[in-house]
Amino acid sequence: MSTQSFHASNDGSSREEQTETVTMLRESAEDFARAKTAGRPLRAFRHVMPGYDPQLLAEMGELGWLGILAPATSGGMGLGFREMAAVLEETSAYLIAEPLTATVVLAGRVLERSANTELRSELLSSLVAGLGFPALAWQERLGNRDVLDVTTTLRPAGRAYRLEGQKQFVVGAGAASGFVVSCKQGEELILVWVPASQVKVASHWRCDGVPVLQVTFDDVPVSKAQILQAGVGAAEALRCTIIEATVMVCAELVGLSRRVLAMTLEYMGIREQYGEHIGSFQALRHRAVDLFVQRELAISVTAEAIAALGHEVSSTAMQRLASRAKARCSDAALRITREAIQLHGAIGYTDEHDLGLFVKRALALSAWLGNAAEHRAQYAGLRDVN
Amino acid sequence: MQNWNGLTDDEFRVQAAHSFAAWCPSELKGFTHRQRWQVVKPWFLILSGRGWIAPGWPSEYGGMGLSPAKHMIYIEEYEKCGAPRLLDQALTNLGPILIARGTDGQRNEYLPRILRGESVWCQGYSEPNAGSDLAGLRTEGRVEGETIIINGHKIWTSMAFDATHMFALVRTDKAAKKQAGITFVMFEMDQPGIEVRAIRDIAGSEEFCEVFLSDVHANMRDVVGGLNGGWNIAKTLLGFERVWAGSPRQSLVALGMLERVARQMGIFDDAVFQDKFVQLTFDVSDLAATYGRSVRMLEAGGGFGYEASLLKIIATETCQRVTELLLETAQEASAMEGRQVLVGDVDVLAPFLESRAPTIYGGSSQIQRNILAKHALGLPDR
Repeated sequence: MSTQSFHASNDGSSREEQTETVTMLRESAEDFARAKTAGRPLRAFRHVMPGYDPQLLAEMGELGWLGILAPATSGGMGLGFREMAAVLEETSAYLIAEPLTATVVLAGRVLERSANTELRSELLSSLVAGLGFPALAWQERLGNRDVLDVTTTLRPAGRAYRLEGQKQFVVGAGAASGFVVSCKQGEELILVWVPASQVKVASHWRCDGVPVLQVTFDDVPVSKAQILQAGVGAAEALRCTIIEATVMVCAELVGLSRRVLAMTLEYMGIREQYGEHIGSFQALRHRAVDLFVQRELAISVTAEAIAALGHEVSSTAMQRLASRAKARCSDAALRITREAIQLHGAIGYTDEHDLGLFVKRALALSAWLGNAAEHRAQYAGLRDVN
Repeated sequence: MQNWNGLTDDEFRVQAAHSFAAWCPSELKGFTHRQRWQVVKPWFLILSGRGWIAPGWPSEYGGMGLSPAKHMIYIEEYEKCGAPRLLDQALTNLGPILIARGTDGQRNEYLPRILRGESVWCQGYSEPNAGSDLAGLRTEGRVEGETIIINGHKIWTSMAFDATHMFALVRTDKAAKKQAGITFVMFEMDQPGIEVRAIRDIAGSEEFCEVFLSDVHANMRDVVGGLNGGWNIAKTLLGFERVWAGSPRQSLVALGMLERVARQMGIFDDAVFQDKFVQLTFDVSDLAATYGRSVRMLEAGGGFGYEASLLKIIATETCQRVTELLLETAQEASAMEGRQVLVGDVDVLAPFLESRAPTIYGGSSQIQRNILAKHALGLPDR
């Protein structure tokens, strides 16, 4: 029997179904993430605006990562979600705080779906070049993820408009150049671009030290040229983009789960009690295997979801697959990080040990764009929609 | 000889579905329990006559030579059609072992007879005191010239009452370290000194047997892997068995039953039920995704390592959880024997009881966890 196996190694990266580009990106992302987090500079950015190092995000732009998904016409690489996921899995494994998913996927993809070709091209080119980082501001109330249920309003004023309202839970926007904002003009959903200089922001701190913004639009002037998309197209752009971002968060959760399990297994092979490595105790070995099982399920469903992206993103089947993936990956990451604390023992409870950083990132990513229970409920609600 | 792998997976799926539907006699479809040889033999001979009896064997030995992905499709379509499970020990386990590790003489003598249904095989592994600790087996094989005289007691031997032959593990060197003194040997069941007793299980079936062996004769030429070289053969063989134990099919069938019963009970749209149901649906779908990933790995030539243990744990434990919700959902009908009209003519108790066995046989869930801890996770031994 061969011992060659996709999970024979402790890190368990899902290396089996990958093209050369994916492998290259993955390796370069891992090298980069390891080098940039050596000596634990992560902690220096916690709870300090913007919550990350904009210089590092610009360096990621030089590596081409900000343009993985963008078309060549905007200076991007025009690659797919498999490539994006490879980078996200590795950067997440090293707790990179730079908001790739929020910037490149959530904001980048909604911009790419914009009907305003001139503004789209300008903003995407700027993003790909690492010169300006857009953020998406769509949520308004806790417990409401309906993209149509917004109270932020766009009111005609002469030959232009005025924007009034407030958005919550805006992620990855600590150094944003501007916001893609969903709002209503009458019954019509509209996406507009608002430069950061024209908004008021208040930051709340997420448990992993990353700022989450409350963004207020207080009678902000908006020209016709700032309108990105209106009507059915706007809602569709938001829904599709959120599904894509949800799957990319799954890739981040997989990367994080993989790393935390590897750290825990390593510790179980070093820590001794009763004169034995704790990893030799059967009760603990079986717990570790149960975490490994969860990690493998998360890798499998994420791979399935990534492969399905790019077909009909707004289809019921894709929504349900994204929900299934987010539910599994959120649960798996939370369980693996919780159990990792237990398996590390008291050292895992200290702020000094990096494990706590992983636990908090897992909490943040699990809740973002819908936790496991929400996605199961959503899936159940969609059962009869066909 | 048809090159099945020249078809696309979808083409092959259509062909398989069509073939099974056309060939399988309707009176043989839909059995919940394993059927005796005389019942399934006509179906065995139909498949054999069509060249479809050994999907995984290479074509030079009379198999279909299917790639792992097409082999999975074969199994899926076979199960979808409702065809009965065959007495398949030789097709699934012994055949591949002889092809990989047997002698030309053994292959020539046994493989054609297996394919034609002229020999029916049972597996003599477990013993009353050698279950999870299989290497602790004590059935003795005494070498006398070209003969091995076997004495001992095998148990949990599936369908032994219908078998013409047994392949067994016997201890041929008591002085050696326990794994090192074991021999893999084949012999005929129709000889003096063999007594078979069926064991009735908690689901009411009589599939497992005890086999008592007193001065049973085997030929030295029927040893596979050399004298005292049986342990490696046994491990390889258990690997084959576990890959197929990792199929999501049983769980999918149970999930379908659960939906039917819940609708019949009028609680399918109930939020409390849905919460549990969706969780299990995700568990089964994620199992299927993991199974598919393993099959693609095999296809890519990765060989199999410990996927088999991983899949066996997930598949068997997921299936148990589905059957537990099935009981809960059926309320009083869950404690009734047989099909219950009140819950849509479903027997809810049988799948629950039957799902208790797979986490024990073929290496218990706990043994699989030991294997994974050591080999997949690299945790230190004591």
